[in-house]
Amino acid sequence: MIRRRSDVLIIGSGAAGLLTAYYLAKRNISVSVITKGYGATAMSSGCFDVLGMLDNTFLESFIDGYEQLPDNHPYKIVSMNKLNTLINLFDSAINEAKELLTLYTGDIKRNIKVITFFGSIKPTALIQKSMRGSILHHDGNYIFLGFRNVYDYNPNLQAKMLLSFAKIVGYTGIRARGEKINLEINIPSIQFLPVLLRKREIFERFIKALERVMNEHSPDSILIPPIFDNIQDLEEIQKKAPLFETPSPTPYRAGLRLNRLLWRMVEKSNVPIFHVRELKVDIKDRAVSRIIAISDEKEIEFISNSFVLATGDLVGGGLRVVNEDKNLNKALIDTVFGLKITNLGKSAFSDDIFDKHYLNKFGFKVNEDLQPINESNTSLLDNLYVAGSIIGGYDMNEEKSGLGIPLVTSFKLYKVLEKELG
Amino acid sequence: MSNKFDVIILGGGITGMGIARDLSMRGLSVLLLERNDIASGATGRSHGLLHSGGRYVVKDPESARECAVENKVLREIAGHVIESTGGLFIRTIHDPVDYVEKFERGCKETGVLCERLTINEILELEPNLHRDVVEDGFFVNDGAVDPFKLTLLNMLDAMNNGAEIFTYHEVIDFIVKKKQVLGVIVRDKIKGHLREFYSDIIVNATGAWGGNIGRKLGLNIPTRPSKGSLIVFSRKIFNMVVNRLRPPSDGDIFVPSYSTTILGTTSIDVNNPDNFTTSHQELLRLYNEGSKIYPELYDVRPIRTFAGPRPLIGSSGREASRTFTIIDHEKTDELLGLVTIGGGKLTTYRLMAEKLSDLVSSKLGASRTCRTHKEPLPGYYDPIEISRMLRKSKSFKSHALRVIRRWGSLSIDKALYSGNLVCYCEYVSSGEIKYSIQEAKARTIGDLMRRTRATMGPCQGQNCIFKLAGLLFDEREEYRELFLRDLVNHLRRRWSNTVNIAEGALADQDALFLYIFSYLGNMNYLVRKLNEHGGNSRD
Ligand SMILES: Cc1cc2nc3c(=O)[nH]c(=O)nc-3n(C[C@H](O)[C@H](O)[C@H](O)COP(=O)(O)OP(=O)(O)OC[C@H]3O[C@@H](n4cnc5c(N)ncnc54)[C@H](O)[C@@H]3O)c2cc1C
Ligand SMILES: Cc1cc2nc3c(=O)[nH]c(=O)nc-3n(C[C@H](O)[C@H](O)[C@H](O)COP(=O)(O)OP(=O)(O)OC[C@H]3O[C@@H](n4cnc5c(N)ncnc54)[C@H](O)[C@@H]3O)c2cc1C
Repeated sequence: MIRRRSDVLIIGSGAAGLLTAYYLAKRNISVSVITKGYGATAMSSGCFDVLGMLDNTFLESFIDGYEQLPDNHPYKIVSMNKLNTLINLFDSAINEAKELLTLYTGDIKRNIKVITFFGSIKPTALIQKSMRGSILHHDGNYIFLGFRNVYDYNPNLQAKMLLSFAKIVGYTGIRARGEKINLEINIPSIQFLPVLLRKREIFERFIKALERVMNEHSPDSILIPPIFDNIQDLEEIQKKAPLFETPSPTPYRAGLRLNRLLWRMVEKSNVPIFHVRELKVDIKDRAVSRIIAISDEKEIEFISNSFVLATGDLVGGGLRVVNEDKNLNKALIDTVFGLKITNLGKSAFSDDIFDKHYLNKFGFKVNEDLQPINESNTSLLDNLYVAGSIIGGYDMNEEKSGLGIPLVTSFKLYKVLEKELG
Repeated sequence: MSNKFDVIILGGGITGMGIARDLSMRGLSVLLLERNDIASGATGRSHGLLHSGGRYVVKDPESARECAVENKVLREIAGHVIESTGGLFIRTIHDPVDYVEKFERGCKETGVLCERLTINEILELEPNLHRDVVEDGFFVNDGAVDPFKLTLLNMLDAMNNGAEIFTYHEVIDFIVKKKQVLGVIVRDKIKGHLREFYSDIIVNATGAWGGNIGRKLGLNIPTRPSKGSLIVFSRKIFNMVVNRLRPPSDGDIFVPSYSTTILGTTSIDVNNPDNFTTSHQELLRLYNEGSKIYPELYDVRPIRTFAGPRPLIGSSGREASRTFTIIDHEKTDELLGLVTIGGGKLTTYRLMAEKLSDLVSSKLGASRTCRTHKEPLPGYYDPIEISRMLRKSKSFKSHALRVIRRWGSLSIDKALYSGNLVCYCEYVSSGEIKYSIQEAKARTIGDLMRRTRATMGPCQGQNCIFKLAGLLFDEREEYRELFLRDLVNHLRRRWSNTVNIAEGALADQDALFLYIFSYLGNMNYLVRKLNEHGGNSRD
């Protein structure tokens, strides 16, 4: 068995795990990352939502919603109940990860409304530069771009959806329409487009079609979902036409782009990332003593001072709903330590998808050092920490507070560990 | 089109559609009115078991006899939508020993074919059965039938014979003059307006809703809706239909359906046939009984639950006979121009339709006789032809095979395999979707699901619901005003049928679904705002 020692072992390679690794590595603290692969970060729209809504109302900034958050909200906990502390944490988190800004634009303290893949409108704080044109403006003129005989989405429906949404948020001056262009070639799915555009003649046909759309409608932006693996391909087109991406879920690429960027940042900092299939944990005297990771061919023993769980929620794979008994009562457990987080009773979610889901609030309860704690506020294991969406106490779906949580908790955790490790 | 017909049929379940086919084949002018989509009532919510009759041989011999005969007939006219799985009746240590003899005698008396098997033979056929509990058993001619497709093919054939089929048309009242029903007043649920239609005879084939229809005329039609719930599991558990050898009860039938397995059912008397929710108690019953013959059941990934109302007439629940009843209201209520049909099974629909059509024909003095058992349904093919059909299809073969399995030879005639894939779980391409919209009356996402199986795979539509809405949007003008309501309704329905069993991989899937539509799509915001504005987006 191979043995690896590092000061910190991080489990999970989403935004939370990789950012924590990155911050620590910059301070020359030795780190290893083990992961089962991509999680929610790669499936997301790739925009950083910090706190976009409360009580079904759009917020101008997370600052406006801070006071209304419950005391056990991760934002309150990491900032020890001081708004200024949270603002500083966010500012520093961004500053210390400057490389992110090669991909992003926006202001963490100012929410913007963006047009999504569905044609809906959603608040967010940082968007990828390729999405600039999906920002909602009162007098915006938007074209959703589609392709004849390609059914991944329907640009006409997207446009109609945008108009319905715009009415509700009071943006009455907006214009939107769908355009389906014909590249005279079979496109099985829009996902193939970037490859097809490598061919000169198809590329030129595409540009011609875009020019026609521009001449006919003079749109501010022409919108497509993020399909480009290589963002330079899009920038090439943008020299000729205002083609922009919309925030879109998997299988579109923006979340993956973010996850890959973080991965590269971490690897460049000389942090090794290990793919693993299965984990075995050893616990001695209320502390994690080692983790044995089983990958395809080999077993690796990881010995560290501190261990970080950044394994995400149900989507990332860090949490799991299990049937506790033959009465189909459910419980929420974490998948690495098997720690039981809570009983859920008969159902894990509310039975109306558009209601509040009490499951969303569940995840690890933490103290201000981001150690998981039990009901009586003592830490579960002396050297275990958590970051990202595996932390409970917030409702991402209601708040639109997705990637803000990994961003700020990973930065806070790095501060804690830096102090701890001297 | 005139608004006067020989016959108006109320209800687009398998019974109503079977009647539409039968009467139109006899040359009568027929209009069928269905308040939602075809097969959206009990028919589409059934187990899809083509009964051998074995289930009823002891308590309900008449129904057993009907099943035995029709089982054979349906294979001849609809073999392309039937999977000849064969079936087992298994006596376990939990079941009464004396039932075995009653069963064998019952089969003999009713003409249900059965063959006694040794324990070894049983376990050889179904090695997944719990070895420690199997004690005895029989082989029977059960099969699995796609109830949506069976209804759809009846519809296509009825249309070929000139019948008019109006979906999303709800009967809200009757036009009556001096003890004679002359016509109906119908609400077009999509366009919103009222319409009137007239006929010589009206057939009430609204199943569990029959009593509601009767009430509009002051009649007391004794329908006893009995709700049954089922669970769909993500893979084949058994290759054959597996029944428990005991008096019919809860959770005692596993039916293989395409690549899934459906476990059912329960039986609960309900007042309101629109109650489609599966209670936790019912789930426990199903798991508890199902796990007796397959203990690993708790570890199989469930996909969804569903429930439907049995259209029983007379006595209630498991006591009620599964044979059917025809009520001639001229005789029972001195009301002319109305007949009601209720009870029965999916398996016996054709026979029911034949008897009812005989009555209607004689009332109208029509002379032609029934031919529904002689002429196969659209898409029927000789299985020997399959390799030729595969060669003709211009798609990759595993896709073509699936489409043939869903549509028979229609898949080749109508090139249903063409176009780009839309649903990756079930391999449904745009050709199949467009045909369903243009020629098979699909008007909503749910309609497409019933016709093509799109959204029915493990992701339950996460990747294709939005695409289906997009296709409808282009193909149907009316949908442009409807899409938001339909999308919201569909997301809700899909959600409520999965969250009640969500654990493990299904819970992960549900969470992802939630993040895509509610979180990222911000649909939770939209729906609440629409509700605030009074525009109730619920059905
Ligand atoms: C469809 C979708 C759209 C979203 N859109 C947005 C958006 O627009 N804006 C936004 O801000 N947020 C969005 N979110 C939310 C956001 O993506 C997540 O909250 C965030 O990415 C969580 O990051 P994380 O690092 O905590 O977890 P994840 O990114 O899920 O990472 C978890 C990691 O842990 C690993 N792992 C899990 N279990 C184990 C194990 N047992 N052993 C080893 N490794 C393990 C996984 O492989 C993965 O690498 C979206 C989420 C989804 C699903
Ligand atoms: C849980 C369950 C499992 C079953 N499993 C099997 C099985 O495995 N094998 C088998 O052979 N049989 C099975 N059955 C029985 C079988 O499903 C039914 O006998 C058969 O489908 C009844 O068809 P129907 O057309 O009479 O009723 P339905 O399919 O219910 O059709 C009635 C139609 O009338 C419509 N309607 C109601 N009111 C109005 C109105 N005002 N205006 C217009 N239309 C209206 C409804 O929308 C509905 O579509 C099962 C039944 C249930 C409930």
